[in-house]
Amino acid sequence: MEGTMLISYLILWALVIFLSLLVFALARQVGVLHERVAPAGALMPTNGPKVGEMTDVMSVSDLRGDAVAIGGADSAGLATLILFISPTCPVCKSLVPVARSLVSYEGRRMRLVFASDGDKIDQHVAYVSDLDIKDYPYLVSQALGLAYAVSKLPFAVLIGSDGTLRSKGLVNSREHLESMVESMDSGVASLQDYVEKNMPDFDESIREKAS
Amino acid sequence: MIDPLLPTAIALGFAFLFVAAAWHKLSARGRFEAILRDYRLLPEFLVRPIAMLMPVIELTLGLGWISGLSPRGTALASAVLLATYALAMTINLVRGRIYIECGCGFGTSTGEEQALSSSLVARNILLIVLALLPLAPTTGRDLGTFDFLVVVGSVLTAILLYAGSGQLIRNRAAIITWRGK
Repeated sequence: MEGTMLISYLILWALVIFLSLLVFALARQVGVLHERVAPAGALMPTNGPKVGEMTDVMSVSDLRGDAVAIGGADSAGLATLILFISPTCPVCKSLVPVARSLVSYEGRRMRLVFASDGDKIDQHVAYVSDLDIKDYPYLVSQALGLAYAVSKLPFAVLIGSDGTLRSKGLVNSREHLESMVESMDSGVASLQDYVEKNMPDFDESIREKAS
Repeated sequence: MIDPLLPTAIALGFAFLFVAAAWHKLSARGRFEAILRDYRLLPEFLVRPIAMLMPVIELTLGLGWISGLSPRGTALASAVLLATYALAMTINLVRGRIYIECGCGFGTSTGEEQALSSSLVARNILLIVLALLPLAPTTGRDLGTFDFLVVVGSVLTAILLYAGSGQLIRNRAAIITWRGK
């Protein structure tokens, strides 16, 4: 009897440890799945101005009160990357250095502009000094956000030197921002757009395979 | 009166927990400093020294648990440290700053850090209760070989379940950020 109890006890222990391991592995797999299925390119909303359209010239005042022209052809021949951020958005904080490094890497063909909205100017001033972005224009304008249909932050808009809208979207990582520059260089707004233009029978071939 | 097996298992578990936590913080010191700053509880000049001090305290506690030197002091200090963490998290939860990382990443977990949530506070409270349990008087039974097998089994199971629950809390946070709110 003693021996049977001992064996059963040991087996139960082994099962408990094995089950715990299984639970942990399952939870981990679910976590990995969440990371994998996260969106891979800048998420482009369908409302607002379309990619390829000419942008309207807007005069927006920055934190110092100077007027900055946004949209339209740029006299210096520079493309404009507008990054919409906010002191209340946590992801923005990590994306600001990424945008700075990307624009400095892109050399002399692009200028970086930050944009935000809200009335609390002192909050914006503290934010700017906190992020060390005094050298860049920091626009505070609700009209600008409305014009480009900014719904979620951090949101980026890329306007070509000729004034056409090259790319826009919700950006969360360096890859998202780079995808926008890539989209400007290749002239392809998105993967869906590429498929539509270059592989008209792509959808059909997939449907055929599926059936 | 509690069986001496319980304090032994708890001591081993906490030794592992604190050493792993200290290792985690030491292996990414700059990161931990940024997380600590993001808690917005300390004046700027204190952030760096405290960020250095925390892993040292945790390591000391871990060694305290495993060595068995001054078990009461170790248990009390652990409870105080865990309570401090719980308080810091609660303050930021009340402030509504849930998207800061908790910095309570566990040695075995990889990938994303955890966002704050009330489940983490609940977990810390549970840990405080466990840390204080060895203060209760024991029956003074001598532990045999078989008891140590049970201790190792329970600690192993506890570590796995702890890591698993941590991962589930993290997954839940990921799902919440997907929904946008």
